[in-house]
Amino acid sequence: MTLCFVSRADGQDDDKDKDTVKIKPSYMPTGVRVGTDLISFVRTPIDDTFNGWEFNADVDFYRYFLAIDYGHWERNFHSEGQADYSNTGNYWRIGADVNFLKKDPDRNMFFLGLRYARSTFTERMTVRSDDPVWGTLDQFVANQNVPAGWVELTTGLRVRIWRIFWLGYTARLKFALKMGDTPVMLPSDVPGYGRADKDSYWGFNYQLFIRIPVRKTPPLPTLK
Amino acid sequence: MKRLSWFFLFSIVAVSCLDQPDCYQLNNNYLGVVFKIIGGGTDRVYLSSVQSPGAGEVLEKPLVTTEIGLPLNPYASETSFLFSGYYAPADAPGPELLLEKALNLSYLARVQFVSEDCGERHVFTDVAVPSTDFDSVRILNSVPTNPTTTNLELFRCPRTNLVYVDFLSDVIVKTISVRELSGTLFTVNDTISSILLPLVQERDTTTFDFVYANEATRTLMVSYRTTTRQRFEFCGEQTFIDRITNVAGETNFATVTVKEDSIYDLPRINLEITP
Repeated sequence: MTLCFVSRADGQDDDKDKDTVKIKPSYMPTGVRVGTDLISFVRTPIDDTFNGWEFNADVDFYRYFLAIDYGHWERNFHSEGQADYSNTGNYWRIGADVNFLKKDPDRNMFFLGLRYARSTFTERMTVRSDDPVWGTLDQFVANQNVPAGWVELTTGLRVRIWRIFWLGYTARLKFALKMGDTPVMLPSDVPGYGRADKDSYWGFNYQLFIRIPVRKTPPLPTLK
Repeated sequence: MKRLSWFFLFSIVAVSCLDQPDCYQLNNNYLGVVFKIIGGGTDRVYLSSVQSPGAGEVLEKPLVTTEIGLPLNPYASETSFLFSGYYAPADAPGPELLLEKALNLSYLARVQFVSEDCGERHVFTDVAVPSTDFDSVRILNSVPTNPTTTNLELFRCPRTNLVYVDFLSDVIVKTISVRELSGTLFTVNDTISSILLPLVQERDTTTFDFVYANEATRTLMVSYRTTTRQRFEFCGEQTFIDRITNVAGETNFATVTVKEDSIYDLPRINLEITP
């Protein structure tokens, strides 16, 4: 029943494109899109150092979208004879996207957006340091529940593939990383951000969504 | 199909963005230190030894230098250094000013995992100087860098009584004595082209008697004005010398030309002499 409803609404959109009457845009949400990051999904079983997942959701307000993400990262590295490092933590992002495809009948998206992100993580390292002047020392160091925050500029696509299924990607420029005090160990990796020693960092999600309609999709406004 | 192509393209771009750090110059554990003179320029020192508890001798061999990189201990939050040697600001020989100074440094040393290939690195920040017996220190940058740049300036007070004498031709000198100090000051026994000589700050003239290798003697008498005042906070009151002139009636060198009539540190040529 829902699928038929969506299909009919799209048919109506095509007709309205030819109309010259200016329709006032509706800012009432028409659906919620929820999805997951396929890269994390694929990477987890094939990359021994990575274990993670991420869920994404957005809701439309005409051409503006409220976007929320929640994810989890674990990193485990073994450096032969030197260091064993592990990191685990969760992160979330909240922000808005603006769709620049105003007349697309399927309401596909090409968007630009902004996010604020927060992460809390714990990392541990067992390390044997060998300094040519000061000698060798075995250490165990850890950071517990370190808070971090950063900002992201995002861009990407959302394309309706079939019925309620959508594919999309999101490219992220992450910057302005701030972290809590870590007096013993300098963080190496921030879940959701990446390498902590980078002032800016690129991120990429390749996402599968389903869109759950919550009301009838209004006709597209005609822009003269 | 066109849509799928776009998705594959961007997937490839995404994978290509996954970068790995290189393992080059990861640590910043050397603190760049430069020796300076208060109110002057960069000093030059002869370092016979730089020692630190836990590391022992830091120098591979004695050296003449204006700067040095000090290795910070990554397993501690403080490192102390003891410098031994003397200051040697000019090429000319002269009275040695010993360098026996301690420098205590505090800092935040943190370890960071880099990658499986590189292992860990040690990152130093917040360098401070809790105590030292150098006359003064100035922190230019509290974060050491790699490659090493200047983080810290170690100052000494200027010496205000050394007149810089330059000979127009080399001369072999056995001894130089100062009459006002009633004794031989220098046993040179070497060929010299220039020399730093101490003026007696309690008087307004100083007389030097040179004995050459062939036992010939020459006398140099200089007169000057002394002024005692505090020019630099860290140095207290010092006696400064200017208006240096040659006392022609007492001097028996062939020619004596005054090039600079004030004492500088770093030294500048004050008197040019034909032996």
